[in-house]
Amino acid sequence: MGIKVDSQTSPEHSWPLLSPKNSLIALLFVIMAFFFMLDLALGSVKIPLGNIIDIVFGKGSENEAWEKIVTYIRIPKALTAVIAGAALSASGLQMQTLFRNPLAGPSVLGISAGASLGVAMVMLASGAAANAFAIRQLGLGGSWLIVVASTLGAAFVLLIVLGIAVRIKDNIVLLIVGIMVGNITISIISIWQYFSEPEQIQDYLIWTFGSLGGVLGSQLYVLAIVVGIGLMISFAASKSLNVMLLGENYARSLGMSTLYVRITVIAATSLLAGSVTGFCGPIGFIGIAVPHLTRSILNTSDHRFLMPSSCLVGAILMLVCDIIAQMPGSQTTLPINAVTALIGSPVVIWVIMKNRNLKSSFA
Amino acid sequence: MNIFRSSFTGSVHHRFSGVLRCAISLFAVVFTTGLSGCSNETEVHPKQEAVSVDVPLSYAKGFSLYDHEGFKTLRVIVDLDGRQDTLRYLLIPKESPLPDGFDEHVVVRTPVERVALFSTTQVGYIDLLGCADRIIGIARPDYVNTPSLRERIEKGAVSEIGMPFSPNVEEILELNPEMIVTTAFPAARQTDYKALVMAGIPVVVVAEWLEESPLGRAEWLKLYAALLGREEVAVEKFADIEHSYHALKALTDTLSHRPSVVTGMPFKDAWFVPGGNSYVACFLRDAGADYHWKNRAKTGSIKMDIEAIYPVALEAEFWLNPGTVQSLDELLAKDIRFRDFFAVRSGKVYNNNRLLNPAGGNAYWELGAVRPDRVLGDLIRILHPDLFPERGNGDDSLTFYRHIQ
Repeated sequence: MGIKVDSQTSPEHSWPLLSPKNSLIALLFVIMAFFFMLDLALGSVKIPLGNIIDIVFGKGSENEAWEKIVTYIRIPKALTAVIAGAALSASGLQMQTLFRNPLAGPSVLGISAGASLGVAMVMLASGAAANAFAIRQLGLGGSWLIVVASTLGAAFVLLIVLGIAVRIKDNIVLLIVGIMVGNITISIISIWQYFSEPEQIQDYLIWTFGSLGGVLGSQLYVLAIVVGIGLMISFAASKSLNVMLLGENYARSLGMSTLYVRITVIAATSLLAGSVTGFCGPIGFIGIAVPHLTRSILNTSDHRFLMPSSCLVGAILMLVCDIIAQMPGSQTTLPINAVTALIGSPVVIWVIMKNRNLKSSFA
Repeated sequence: MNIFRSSFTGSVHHRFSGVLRCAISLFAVVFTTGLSGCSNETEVHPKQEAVSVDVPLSYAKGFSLYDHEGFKTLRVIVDLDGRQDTLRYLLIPKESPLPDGFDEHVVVRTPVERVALFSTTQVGYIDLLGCADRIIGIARPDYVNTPSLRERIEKGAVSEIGMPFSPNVEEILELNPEMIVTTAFPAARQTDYKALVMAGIPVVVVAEWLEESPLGRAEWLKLYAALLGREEVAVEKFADIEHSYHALKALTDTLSHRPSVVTGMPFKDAWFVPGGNSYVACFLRDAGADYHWKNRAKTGSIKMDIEAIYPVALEAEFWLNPGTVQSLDELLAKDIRFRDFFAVRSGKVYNNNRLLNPAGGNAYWELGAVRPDRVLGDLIRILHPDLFPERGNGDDSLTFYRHIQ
């Protein structure tokens, strides 16, 4: 171990390299790697661990089906779990800080609802101009169609929220507006559902259950790049977020442009939450639960640590949820959204009971 | 994507599946006793039973008809999610006085001349009985393929009466049909139908999609016949269908090569396959296919993990009913992993959407339920082309199926 720097008292916010907190981050990384391998090893089809390791390290396997299952099903799914977990947690953390509200998450700005609106437009609003067939003629097929639709939906809501964010200085008002915009989109969707065919509703319902599978090849690259950009913005905003915790007035007195921070954070969140929702459907709870969990593990409110650890904890939790959802050994899966909520809710309750007082993190 | 359109999800009537059932049964409204005076005990009235004769049914298990002197009674058994309801109807000629002792029954005056429907499947049955001209209202008329009815819809002779989930009660009352036919499924808001029953319009609930055999589904023709007063026609038509079905089935009885099949279309990592007791599995068995999950005793569809199906799908000789896709490009755009399937590599993918109208209404759902012989004919031609040497390379000999290429 090297020199210990107490980050809390370091006046110029230096980046300590080998503090206990950094060791903890390293430990989290190892745990994530362990669960990543476990996620690859478990599934409906029983594949011996030796073969899994051979396939992962490119040695292949004599069983063609096993090789394809690991390569085309399990590895993309585990990678998607890591990316989605990290993205949702990072965006949840920023939302909670920006709004200084422990219940905020990536969905509060209505971004997920906007994405759902885009998907519903493709799946439910048949006969409208947004008929899937019309879009298909634009050269978008199959799985990309849904991704593009949800991205456009998220962007649409985001533009509304950004427009309001520029005009209104109060974050609480922005939070309420975000929730209201989300409600409007949800009601539009429910009207469409009411007038839709059973099988269309079914398609949409399955999408809302969320899914980590089916993000393959070029889609996985796109998801990784977009989330990568979103995370870079988030990491860069860490210091500003620390100041934001002290209150907007204080931040302004330090000469910080709160509008700039607000727009940066909203943009990062939309990239993160919007892309994950587009590819995986609306996955709930990770975004709200992980930041609380991470704060209690690290016992800090310093975003320079919280941000990377939240990403790692989110990735670990998502991998664990995926392992549970697969119900290893059985032929069936649980919807990932149900599993995240089942795990997420008790975590939030536990954290609140344990801390008795969330204000400490938000003031 | 549309995994459930494919009947080979076995799922249920057209397009209801386990997911929907699970999701909606959370707040599903079950058949209220007020709807039809249904009750779970099957007590009989000894006096009437003494003079009633069962109308013989060879395959259908979901309904039974009793012939009393001068009128009939009908029982429809709806078994959804393990909850069984029996609905009772009294079918009585328009001029006859009502008999005593049938307070529990919904009265339908026969022969019914003005019918409102909530599903295109019902059109198939009624048209086969030659009564399409009695249909005066239908939900989603744009989905109808049947030419005779299509023509009447274009002329404006058929009203739109809402959606399957949400009947437009006012529209229906104004239309004043003598009977409404609706399909039993958990998501239907029975309260709306209850209002119609209270207004004196009988609602007949059908559930042909719960049958375990294709001929069982087709035999529901006899229920429609009793309502429309076309019993002789139904007996004759059904005997033809039955005969033709068995003749086709006999072709595959002795075959040694039974090709393996995989069915349906996954969405991301969820894949629905028909249960071993579903009418779809029965179709595959009768068509001389080897269906991997034939021993999974379930009538509806089974939701499975794509990983569990993948090893089977990799090797399966045929892939049937991949959702709504119409071309190989479209199939691969859904999920690139499909390119590894043997059926895709060897060009043996077939879908049941050959007959689509511009709105996307598929004739397979309209005619397929009542003409299982034609569906079976398609399947045997696809799976065993050597049995039909005169068949060309084209799709011309198929009714409902298209070759996906």
